[in-house]
Amino acid sequence: MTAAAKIMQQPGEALIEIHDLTVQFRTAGRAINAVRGIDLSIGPGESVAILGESGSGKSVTGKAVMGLINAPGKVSGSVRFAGRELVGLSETELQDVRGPGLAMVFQDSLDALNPVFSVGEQIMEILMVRLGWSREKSRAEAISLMQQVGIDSAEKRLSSYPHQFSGGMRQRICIAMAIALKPQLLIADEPTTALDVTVQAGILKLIAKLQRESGMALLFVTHDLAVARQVASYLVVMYAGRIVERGPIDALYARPAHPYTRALLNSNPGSVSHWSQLHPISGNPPDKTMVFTGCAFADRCPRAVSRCRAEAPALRQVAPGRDSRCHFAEELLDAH
Amino acid sequence: MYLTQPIPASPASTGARIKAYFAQTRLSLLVRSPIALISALVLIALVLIAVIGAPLALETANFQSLRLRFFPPFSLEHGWIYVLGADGLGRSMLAQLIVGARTSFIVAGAAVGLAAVVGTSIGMISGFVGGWVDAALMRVSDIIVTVPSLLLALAVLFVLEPSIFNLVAVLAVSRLPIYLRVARAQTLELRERVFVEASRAIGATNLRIIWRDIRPLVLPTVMTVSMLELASVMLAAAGLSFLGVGLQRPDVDWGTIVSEGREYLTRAWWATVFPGMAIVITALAANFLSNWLRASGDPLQAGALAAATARQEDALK
Amino acid sequence: MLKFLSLRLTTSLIALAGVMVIVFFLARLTGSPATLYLPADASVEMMEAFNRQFGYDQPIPQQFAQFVGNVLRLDFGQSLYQQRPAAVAVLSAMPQTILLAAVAMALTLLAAIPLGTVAALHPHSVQDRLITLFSLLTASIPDFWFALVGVLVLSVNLGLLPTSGQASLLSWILPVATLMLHPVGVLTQVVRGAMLETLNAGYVQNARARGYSWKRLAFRHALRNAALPIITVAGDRAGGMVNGAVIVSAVFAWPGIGQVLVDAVYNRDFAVIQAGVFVVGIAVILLNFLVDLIYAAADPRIRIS
Repeated sequence: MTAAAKIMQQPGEALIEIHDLTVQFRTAGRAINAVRGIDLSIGPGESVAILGESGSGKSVTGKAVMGLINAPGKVSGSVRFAGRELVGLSETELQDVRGPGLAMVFQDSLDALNPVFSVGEQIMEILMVRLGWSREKSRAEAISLMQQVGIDSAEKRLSSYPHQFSGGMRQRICIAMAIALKPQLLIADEPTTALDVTVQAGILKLIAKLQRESGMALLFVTHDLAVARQVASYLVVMYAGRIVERGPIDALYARPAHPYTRALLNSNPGSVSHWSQLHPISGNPPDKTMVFTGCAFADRCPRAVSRCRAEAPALRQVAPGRDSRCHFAEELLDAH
Repeated sequence: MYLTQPIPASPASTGARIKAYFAQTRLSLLVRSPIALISALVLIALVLIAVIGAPLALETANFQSLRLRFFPPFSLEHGWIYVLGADGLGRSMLAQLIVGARTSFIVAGAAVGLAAVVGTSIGMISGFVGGWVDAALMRVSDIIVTVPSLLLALAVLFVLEPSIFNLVAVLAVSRLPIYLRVARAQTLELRERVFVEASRAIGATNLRIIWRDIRPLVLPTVMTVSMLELASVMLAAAGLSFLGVGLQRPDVDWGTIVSEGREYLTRAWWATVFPGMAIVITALAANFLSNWLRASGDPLQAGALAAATARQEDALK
Repeated sequence: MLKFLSLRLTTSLIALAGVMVIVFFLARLTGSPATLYLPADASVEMMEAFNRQFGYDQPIPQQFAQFVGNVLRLDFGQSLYQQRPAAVAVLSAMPQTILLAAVAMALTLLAAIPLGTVAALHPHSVQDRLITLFSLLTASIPDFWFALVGVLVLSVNLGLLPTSGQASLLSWILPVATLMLHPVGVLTQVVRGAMLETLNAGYVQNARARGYSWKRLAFRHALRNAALPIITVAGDRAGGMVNGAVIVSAVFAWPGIGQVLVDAVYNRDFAVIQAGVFVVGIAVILLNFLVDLIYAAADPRIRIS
């Protein structure tokens, strides 16, 4: 649980406002709906986690905000960042926002680093190209950044290449590169998924520390409940491209208001005290080419009734600060 | 997947399902691309002209006429057979092109066919068996690739004397490495698949596995590669004939016609330009077709893979 | 890196041995090698004496040993036509061909890299299709025909370029263009493929997320990685330019190994052909090794491992 967490502020003070964001991929006459209209606001300094299985659209959301969705993907809706509409901007216009405004850390740190340039060169390049700094100044700052993210003998390691580092070290370097221009919002797309659990803890602590010290906002995408809890104060649960529940993270974990969140909690070893209480969620994530008439989770939901398949529930407030997309959210809440 | 409609998972027979997969992937896609369709039609037309027209045109092609020496093209004065003009000995260009077409296609087709059969077989064995056999065969392939093909062909044909058989043999050897590599790469990948394991489990010998399981899946890629190779070999054969080591009269292919026309390049440009254009048109059609095959994700390959999976699924029921 | 290079060295040596075997058997494909070396009108006794003198009647292993010995001393016999050692005739012609090939390859890369990059930046766009069409066209045109048509149009009809000889800079245009014809089409597609792959790689998307311009992304981040497979194919095609050199010599009487070989074929000078195959084989092996060296130096993952 991060210390400097702020509960979500009123709209108007938000750093980034996402409204009805939809991402569709069209190939060979088929339309794949990765994200189906999500609304989200993040205030300055706030830390929000997007939780979901693979295929829920969580990664695509992060990339869509950064403007990294390529053809045949199409992004529609609105993403307002610091008062500026990002959807529909040209690549050149987006270049201004990327770096000092928005920054991103990716899942595969080896793939995210250029193998033919040293890490020092890659960090220094950001400063020299985007800020126009001299080589010496950039070098000093690069060393400082590497020390900030916890890399020993930073000066010596400037000339090392990405393949010479371990996975955890590489991810730290990626983080250093992301914060180099002091972004207002950092989007982290499952940065610890490919790492050992022990290394994971170090990275999460680092991200939390950096966020605290700089006051930047954090959008953390993950499928791991425990990880989400360590970095975020506000949780958004996604399923089949939609938000199904959201609210303060501790409240959600204690009293989930959606069957999917509940099922996730019950299938996670960290949140039950005995293995006999583990219940994996039956079935598979839905086909992304399908369009739903009813609730997307109905086929896998233990409490589904005919109303669920006929009528799609809307995302609505079910308690102060808590939203859920389920007809029976209130009953679920009261059951605890 | 490249299927246009979903295949019903009905209890239809295996044969019917396999047919459905192939029909849907191959033909419907071909019709959709005009360039590929035209290329295919052009190639078929040329082959037909070569096969049917050559015996008919042979006499005319050899008919020399002093009167018609260097007769220019695009005039029907002496009949449509001389519409492409006549060469230095008064022979009809059109007739020569038709006769040359047959030789060119036979040489290119035989060379590619030979290289494909031998190269693919060795490649599959090499990839499947692995070990020192594989290493040794790869080194042999390296050696063939080292000496530039024209040079090697030149040297060998110098020693062996030009003839259709020798030309085909030399060209085939120079194209072996490509088939070796492609077949080997595919086999390496397929080696680990489930249906191979299944065959092994029921006690099939290596050769049998290669023939029944791997070969059908390697074939589509080999066919795509062969289309490309057809163009390359045609150019290479023409080049060798042009240099005088490929074919010599009475065997004539488009390359020899260019070589003869060269002597009076300024007097009769058509004797050089037309045979070359024939090569360009043929090679271009083959290249368009192979490009389309690759670009549409190799529908033949997808179909074959789907069919193999269907066969295995049924066998395991 | 050492491990990589020593592996490549071993492969090169095996290739060298293979070339020697090929050249060795080249002469022995016919029953009597003497027919290849001696003029056509030599008598049967002369041929038999020749065969005995050069040991062609001895068992194969012995012949091979003698052959290897000769090769290592670069002794391929006398050139019938030129009255000097075949090896000298071939070696003295190499520099000109190497120069021609080097110029052609440099220009090929100069053209292929921008074209391939433009195609990769907007796949399936109009420019991409046109560039691919260009590649398909160049792969379908025979180089000797291209040369002849070039001579016809540019030299004879328009009088812009000389028809043969090395007189001026202008006379280089058609020969270099002929040599470039096939490689430029192939390399454009290779550049396109390599750039497509690198432009979609994680590190380019990451760099994009840092707000770099597309120019920087393409020409610094992507190209530097795409250069690796491009170098490999370019080296491969450079070796193949000997084929084009033979054609260029046949059409333009251009000096170099091509001319030497064309003359040798015409004059039935087998010793020169044999020497030519060997020397070119060696040159290609050396070139490949050089390309491997460059590759190892350019890729930090191999350089430092």
